[in-house]
Amino acid sequence: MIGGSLTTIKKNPSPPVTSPPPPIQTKKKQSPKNQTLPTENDFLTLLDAHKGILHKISKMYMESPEDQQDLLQEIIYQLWKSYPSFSHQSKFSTWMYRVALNTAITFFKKEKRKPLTTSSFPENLPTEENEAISKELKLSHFYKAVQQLEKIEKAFIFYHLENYTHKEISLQLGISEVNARVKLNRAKNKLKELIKKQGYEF
Amino acid sequence: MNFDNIQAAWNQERNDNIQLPTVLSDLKGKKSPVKKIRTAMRAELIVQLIGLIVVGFFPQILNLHSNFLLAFYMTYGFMIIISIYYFIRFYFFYNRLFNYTLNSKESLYTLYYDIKVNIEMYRSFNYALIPIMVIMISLFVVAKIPLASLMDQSHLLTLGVIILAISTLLVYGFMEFGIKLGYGKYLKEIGSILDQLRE
Repeated sequence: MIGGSLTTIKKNPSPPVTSPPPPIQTKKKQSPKNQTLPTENDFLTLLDAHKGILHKISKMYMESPEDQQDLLQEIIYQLWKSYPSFSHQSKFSTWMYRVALNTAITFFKKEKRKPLTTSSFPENLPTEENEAISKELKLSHFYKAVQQLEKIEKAFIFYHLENYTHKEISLQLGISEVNARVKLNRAKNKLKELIKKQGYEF
Repeated sequence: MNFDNIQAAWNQERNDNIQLPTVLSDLKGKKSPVKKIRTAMRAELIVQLIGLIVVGFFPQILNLHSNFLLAFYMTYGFMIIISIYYFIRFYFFYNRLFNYTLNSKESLYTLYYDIKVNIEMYRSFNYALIPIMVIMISLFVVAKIPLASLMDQSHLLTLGVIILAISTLLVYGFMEFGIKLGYGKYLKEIGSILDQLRE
């Protein structure tokens, strides 16, 4: 009995399990300690340049400010841990989006998936005189709607807003280009519906 | 509504008051599934080790007759060998790192199968312990029951079935509970995310 169950374990899932390349593991432990400052400073500079986009990701994925902060911290932690595997041939932002979104997608929180009825939107309708407020209002409606999407749909919307083509999105997510196009359109339509339900039109 | 409007607002979003950590070594990934599973595994290992040690003292605790000690400790030896084998395998799984730099589908699949393999490993470990439990319980029962009544074949069969049923239920109950508590929810959640990526 024992032998039988063991062999099935070995056979079944071996291709996906053995496939992930392990170079991160070995490098990871050494780099933060041994070659401390230059790498860390490089990383922090890059991070500072891209902090806005990371903040946007955490706002898309989490509702409360505390959760958003938690997610941001987690993303930075995972980025720093994976940083030794970043080959400087590819664009930093492309690499960063991958790690950040993978972290956000697998970030588990006991979230109550109830759309909030009360919210902190500015009460007044947007007036042309104050464009800044109007933009804020737009964004808060946008984030509120986005937060109700599924995790993968959020990733589609994110890449779309970052001007990624269908091809690029498909590479980032590991799906076919056709699938990326279909899913992106679906996510966009869903988002439109959600924003409409909130009684807001852009 | 059009997306150009959103995009314009999105591109101009201010980011002045975002706080970044200044010391990277203070960061700890706490909420990643890998971290949570590792915590669960560590707790499990401790419980299993304590259990293993306690079982070793069963003859003293339950006053097993010295005639049965050899048989008991031989079975106990098997138990330890099986446990060591599985502990080593769990250790390798524990040290494997979830790769965040692959594309989303690949990294999710890796994680999904890693959790799945671990659950199956955990299952087979527990099932491997059933025969050992059966032998151990039988030893204690046989030591307490007078030999004459054991000669009665029909009793023996009933007793065997009861012991087997009890140990299977015990192992199965603890195991499924442990799996559900420690890993099941992550597997389910990741599985549902993977479904979203399907064609």
